[in-house]
Amino acid sequence: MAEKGVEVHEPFRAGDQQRQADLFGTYVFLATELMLFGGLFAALFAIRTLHPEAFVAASKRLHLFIGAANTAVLLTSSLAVALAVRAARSGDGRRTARLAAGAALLGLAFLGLKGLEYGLEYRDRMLPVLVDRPRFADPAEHLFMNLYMVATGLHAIHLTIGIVLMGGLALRIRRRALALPGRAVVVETLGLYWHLVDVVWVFLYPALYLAR
Amino acid sequence: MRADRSPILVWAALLVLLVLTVAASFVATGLPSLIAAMGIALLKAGLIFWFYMHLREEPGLIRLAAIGAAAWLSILFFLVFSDYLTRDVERTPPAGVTEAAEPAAGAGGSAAVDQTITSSSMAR
Repeated sequence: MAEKGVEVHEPFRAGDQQRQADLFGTYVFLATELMLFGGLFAALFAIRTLHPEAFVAASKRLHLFIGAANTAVLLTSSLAVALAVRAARSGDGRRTARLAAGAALLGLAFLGLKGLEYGLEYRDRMLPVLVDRPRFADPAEHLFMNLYMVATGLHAIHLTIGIVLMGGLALRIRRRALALPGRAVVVETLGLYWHLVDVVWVFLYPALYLAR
Repeated sequence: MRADRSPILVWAALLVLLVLTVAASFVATGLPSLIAAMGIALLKAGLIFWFYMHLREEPGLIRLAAIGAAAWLSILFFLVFSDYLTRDVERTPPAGVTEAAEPAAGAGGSAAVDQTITSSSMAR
């Protein structure tokens, strides 16, 4: 896809070659993120193999519908980002900025719901470390909740980074500091990160909340 | 690129799959539940990678970079679960030797062995 207005930087000879390198680098970075979360999933499935009943019992105590609502919020934010990339490619800066800001707001809504959920779990003394004397049915549930906190917390940190970057991108486009469609690849690469954070949640949600 | 229809269709498909996975969690239990949950998650991830992350439009090298992590993760999972999923083999006593030591193990099939492992890990 040869775009006009692309600034070609030093090692590259053509805009297309430069764009491929940008995307390739982003995907390699995202692969390291997948490996990071993959380790958590391996631990999660190992605990499920060792303690099947306790794992299911612990999973049933999580707030299934808050998690489902959050999944829908995140999927919708991904739609906004996908539409933003299209708008950026066609050079529509206003629309790109609005969609990027919308995605960032949906990200904030996710964090708000997650915070509400953590609050409910804090009240029910289900959060390890934070709660004084947590109430767990057995040590396996403690293990499950430890992993729940680490995995959802790590995901929330990734989403926070995404929100900051996405909000910043919307501002830069609004101030015309980012020329479109020439620099559309910036929107594309940040979009890839955003979608990957979404994909991680797509696996975390059933693995944690829907174990039956 | 004329219409924004296809991203919206993908979004609708993702939401349908979300409803399906929640519904499946009320119906299935045990291994079928795990397979349904992870199968639907894989399908959703596939839609996101293929359409939203533009793998549909990209050449082979980018696609290779995208599935590289999946290849490494499958090695990780293979090695981890070649341990955890085969531990009960070791616990099954040789036929006719230690019937008395582990009464449940002789009862047949992996279900009984699972039971032994669960109850022994619970007891700790």
